[in-house]
Amino acid sequence: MAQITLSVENLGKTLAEFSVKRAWLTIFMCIALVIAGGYGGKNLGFSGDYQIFFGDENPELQIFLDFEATYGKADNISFVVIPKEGDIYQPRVIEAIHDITTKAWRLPFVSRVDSLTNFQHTYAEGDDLIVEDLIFEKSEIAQPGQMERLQRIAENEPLLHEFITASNGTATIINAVLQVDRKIAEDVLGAAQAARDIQAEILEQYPSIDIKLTGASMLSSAFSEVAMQDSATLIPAMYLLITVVMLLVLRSLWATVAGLLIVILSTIFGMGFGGWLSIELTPISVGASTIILTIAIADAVHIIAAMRQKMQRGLEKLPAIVEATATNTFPVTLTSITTAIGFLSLNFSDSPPFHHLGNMAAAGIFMAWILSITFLPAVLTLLPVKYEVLPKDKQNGSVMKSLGAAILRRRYAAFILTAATCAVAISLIPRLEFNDVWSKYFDENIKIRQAIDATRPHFGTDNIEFVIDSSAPQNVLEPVFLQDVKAFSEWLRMQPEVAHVYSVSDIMKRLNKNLNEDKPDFYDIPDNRKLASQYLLVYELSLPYGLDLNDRIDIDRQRTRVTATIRDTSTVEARTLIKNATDWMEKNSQFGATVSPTGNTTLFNYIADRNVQAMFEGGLVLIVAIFIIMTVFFRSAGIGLLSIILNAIPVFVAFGIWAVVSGTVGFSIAAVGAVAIGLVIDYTVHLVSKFMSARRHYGKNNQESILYAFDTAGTAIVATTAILTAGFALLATSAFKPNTDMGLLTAIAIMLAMVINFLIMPGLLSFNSKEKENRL
Amino acid sequence: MKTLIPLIVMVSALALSIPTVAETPQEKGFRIAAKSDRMDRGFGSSIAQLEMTLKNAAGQTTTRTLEIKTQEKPNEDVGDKSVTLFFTPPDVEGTALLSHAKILDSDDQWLYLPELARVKRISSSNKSGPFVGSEFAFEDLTAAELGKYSYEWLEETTLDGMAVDKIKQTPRYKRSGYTYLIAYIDQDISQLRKIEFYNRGATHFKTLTQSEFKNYGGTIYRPMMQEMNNHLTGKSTTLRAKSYKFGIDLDDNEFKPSALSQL
Repeated sequence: MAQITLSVENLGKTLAEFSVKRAWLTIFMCIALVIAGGYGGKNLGFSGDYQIFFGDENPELQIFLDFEATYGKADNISFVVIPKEGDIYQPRVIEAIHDITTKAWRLPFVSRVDSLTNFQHTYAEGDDLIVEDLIFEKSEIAQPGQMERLQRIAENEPLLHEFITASNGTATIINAVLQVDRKIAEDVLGAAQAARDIQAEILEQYPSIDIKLTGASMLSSAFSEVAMQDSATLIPAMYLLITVVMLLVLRSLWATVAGLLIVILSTIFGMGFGGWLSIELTPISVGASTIILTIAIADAVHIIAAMRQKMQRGLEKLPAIVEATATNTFPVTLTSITTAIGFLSLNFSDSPPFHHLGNMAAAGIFMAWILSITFLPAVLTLLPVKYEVLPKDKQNGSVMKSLGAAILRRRYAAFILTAATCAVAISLIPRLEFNDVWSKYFDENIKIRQAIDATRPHFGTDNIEFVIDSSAPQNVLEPVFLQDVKAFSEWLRMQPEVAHVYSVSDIMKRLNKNLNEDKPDFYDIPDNRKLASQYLLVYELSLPYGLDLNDRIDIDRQRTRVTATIRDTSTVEARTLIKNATDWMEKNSQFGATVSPTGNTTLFNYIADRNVQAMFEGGLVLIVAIFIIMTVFFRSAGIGLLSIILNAIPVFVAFGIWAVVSGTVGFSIAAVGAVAIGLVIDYTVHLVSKFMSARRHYGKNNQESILYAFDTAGTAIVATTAILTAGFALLATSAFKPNTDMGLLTAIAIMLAMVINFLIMPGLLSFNSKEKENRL
Repeated sequence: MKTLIPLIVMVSALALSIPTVAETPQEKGFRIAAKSDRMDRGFGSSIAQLEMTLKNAAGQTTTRTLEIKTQEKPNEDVGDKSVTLFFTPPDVEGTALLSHAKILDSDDQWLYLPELARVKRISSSNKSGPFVGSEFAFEDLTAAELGKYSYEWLEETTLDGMAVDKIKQTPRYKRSGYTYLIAYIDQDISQLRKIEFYNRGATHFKTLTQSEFKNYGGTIYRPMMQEMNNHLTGKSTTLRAKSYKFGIDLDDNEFKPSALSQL
């Protein structure tokens, strides 16, 4: 321990002396390094792909991509038309629907538009099968009885009712299907913008209606929208906050300027590094800038606070800078390593935005470390930072030292009480439930959230796709199988959360009726496979531009897709529905059909599980890594163990508290464990390193060493806790709910870690050192 | 003699280019398209046996075999009549589609379903809809009708080493799914080599490539291979001709709805 500490401290001293002597050169070199990294920022852009949240290996994503390749892309933009007064069956509203339909056909990448007016209405006239748009020419709208006709057809057609038209005609949807490459953000955002332009044009022309935009493409664009909003609001707020905190803690404008420079340069480097890695920004990864800022400031505050203390105790400015840097090089290095490892362990996550967050944060932390021990002493040398020497009687006995003494006196009581409280909190963890409502990821001032909220009273807002497999090609048309599909669809319709079911069985029933002179008796599945095949041929021949049968049945006719539109549900409810549905089919299928669920929003149903699983592994690796690092640096397995216990406990306690406060965790929470452990280990590092150096260098006894640790590291720990807590609490004001949860929970964990470290450490260190004394 | 050939080519090229001086791009486009269309005027009727392979974005394929009998109408303002007969998949064997193409209106279509033993008239305006799940619309499959489009010659260019004319064709049929097509007609035998289709958003979304042209006497050529690629969906359809027969005397009665059940 002594050797490592000393050699790191000597390195720190050498570096600090060089930086103070050759201040301008140091500054120049550091800035050159930052520019080299920061230049990568030119590659940074916001992602336009909601699927960025799913790793390439994610099994649900693989199933979904295969589904899309089979049945066509599921990207869409829905125009939800809500009349301000009355229902949709008024000529003016129908005209608007007709106009939106026409305009939506010109959206970029559009392959299909479905609306009430262009619905393919089929009926029989003797042996004639008539297939026509419900309203083709706008002039047809004014025909007498037209509104009644539309309402009658819409309310009786399973493919319209509660899917395109809400019951009682309170709203209607014009749905545009897009074949857009989600990887190209500007294409997705361009399509979304084009939809907004149409929305604006129509609203101006038809003031009596309201239009909301939803759908997968709008969701994708919302992710970048919210990321942009976050970076525009959170970052300035963060800078304001740290400026205030630094002024309070450091009591010097120039010292604050020095700290701010470290923060800005580290952030530029970290984000630029992300650019070099071709990272696409998401609401999650944008958080890296807040995190880098928070951690960089913690590094700087430790050094500046030490310099202040030394100057106040009578040391000259330059020696104070060198000594402050030298004594902090070891803890700052170690905490940078552990924090960076914590963030790097996010690479275990199943969700790439967390990899991005972790890697950018780690790069920023690395730069903050370099800058703190080189650039900072150089800048402090050049800036006119001044601290008055305090009178002798105020030099000793800081508040922290008194606190340390108080705890030390009651160390066993403090230890037992804290341990007991922690145990109670941790025992609450099993009450936590994984649950997300993905539409509520967005704050209420985000358009997609408003659109979903406005749509909810009229339509389902989520889709679950059920792929029903008949086990062999051509089997889809077997009457028994089609009966299964029909029964399954009917079962789905009876579920309270299901708003609509789109099934080939309804198409079959209608065809059977249409091709038998519209006799109501024939509104059922045909009882003969050849007939069903020939009906499908009729159906295929009658389909309009942009629609084909492969939207419902795969090309070799082995599988068919049933789409359930469900009302806004939590992931728990959705998964329950999916499970019940697959179970139902297993129990009731006459044909032996199997069901597998997928769909774009269904992906989000499993993301929390995946992330927790992956991060659990990541957490274990992190703990082992931290144990090894602490053991090696402090030459003591005891300290390594102590670090793990002291730092895992606050995180668990935080989860326990969360179980009471919120009760549910979403997918971002998985990241908290690793991030928090990486951060709070700093407290242990600072306290233990100061404690050790007091014992080794100054030959103090245990109690004195503990007091020395509280005295020298205490203020900086409180200050960094204030900064880190505030930083993560600010992240909690994000417009993106996963960030809010992650920020809040991390803030709780950091505060707890400080308290627990202060309360338990004196007790534990007494045990620890007693052993050693005996051995010595 | 050999030295004379370039001279003849040059002279004829010169001769051909003279009318272009006074021609508008519209007239030139029409002239080239008309020449292509009229090359096989007078075939009377034809029978084509085709194998259609559909491929989706996941790479799954399925094959259908069918036969198209076409009766040519000499009047360019009247569409041809055709009967499409399905052989496979087995479930649809014997299903037959009769179509009386209209130039600027919805086609008249009748479908015979053997299992139902009935002929059904299908009244639909969906000419641009996919033909039995393929990337071809029915209007892409049947012989090009000159009157269906208005034309504009764009430029002379090369395609796979051939000199071709690039012509913009705008559908005159109101319910077409296309805003326009870009057709490439070679200058050698005046055949359509490639067509690019532009959807309502004026995006180039599918491309038809015709190749392996075979001469059936005189100026009549047919592609043995037609491939339609949909760039939006990643799906494609190939149409391979197994055989073409020309000049068979097909009775007018075979193109009546009542004849469908006898096929």
